[in-house]
Amino acid sequence: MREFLSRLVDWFRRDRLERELAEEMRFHRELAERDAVAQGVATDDAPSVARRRFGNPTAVAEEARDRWSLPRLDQLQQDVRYAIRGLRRAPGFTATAVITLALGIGANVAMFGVVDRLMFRPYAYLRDPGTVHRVYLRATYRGKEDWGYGGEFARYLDMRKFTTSFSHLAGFARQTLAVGTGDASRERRVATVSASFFEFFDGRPALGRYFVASEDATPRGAEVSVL
Amino acid sequence: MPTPAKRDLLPGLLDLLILKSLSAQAMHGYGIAQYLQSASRDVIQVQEGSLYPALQRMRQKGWIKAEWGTTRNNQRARFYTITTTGRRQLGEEQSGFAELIAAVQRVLRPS
Repeated sequence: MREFLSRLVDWFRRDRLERELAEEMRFHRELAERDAVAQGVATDDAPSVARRRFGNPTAVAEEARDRWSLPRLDQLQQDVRYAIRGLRRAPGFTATAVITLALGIGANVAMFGVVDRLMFRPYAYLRDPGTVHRVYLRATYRGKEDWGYGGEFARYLDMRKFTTSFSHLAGFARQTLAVGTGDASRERRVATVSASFFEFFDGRPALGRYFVASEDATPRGAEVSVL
Repeated sequence: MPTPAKRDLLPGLLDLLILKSLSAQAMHGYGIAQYLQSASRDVIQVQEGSLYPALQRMRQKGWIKAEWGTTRNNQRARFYTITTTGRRQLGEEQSGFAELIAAVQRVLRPS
């Protein structure tokens, strides 16, 4: 592992290493020549003697180069260069490919963002998402099980009265109603909720206040709305 | 002038010899070659073609360090020093080599 790391480091500075090796070998040959002369070899013959002793400098350099070449990395570098050249030669194709990828990735990112927020993350402002649950009621009618119950206000009141398992309970029902008068009326999604509904959230109303339990009374409470 | 017979080194032996040379003092490549030649009384003549690749390999393994310095004649040269890892490696290879030699001699002993 350690060896691989230093090979990797060497790969990045291989030009310098090669220069250094060349200098080192030149130095080696110089000294060999000098010593050959000192041992009585004629000055003219010294370089060839030294070279003979040294062996083939190109082969030495070649072999040393193997020490800092990482064939896979070299190939990768070549491939990348080749690919870039090819892309540059065909700008139309490059643009098409880039745009296709960009749109594909962009669409996926946007989709993921929406789905993530809607389905996987706890709702913003919810006070304690881990303990909040929706209660579904199930009824068996003529041997058939049905999930469509639980929307009635009376059931909510029953639950509030007879269950102790929950610290808070809130009822809500959603409808699509006409809001407004005359031409200005529009269809809007409206929810009727109990006053306790707002305790589940951290958000404060921008203006005014939420309604409270005393206003949420049967048979006729205060006429309130939260926009 | 009778040249002493050149002996090929067993693979791995060069590493051991280089480590041993450097354990005494820092040397440049040529110095190592000269040292091995004189210490072995001219029997070992390191092929420079194997010396420098070996030095690179050992440097990458962390056994030796290479630094540029100047010689006594004020020439720029790359000096190699042995590292702590290198010393440990030297110890291991030395005992390994001793074992190997003893084993080879046992085999060669006339029966």
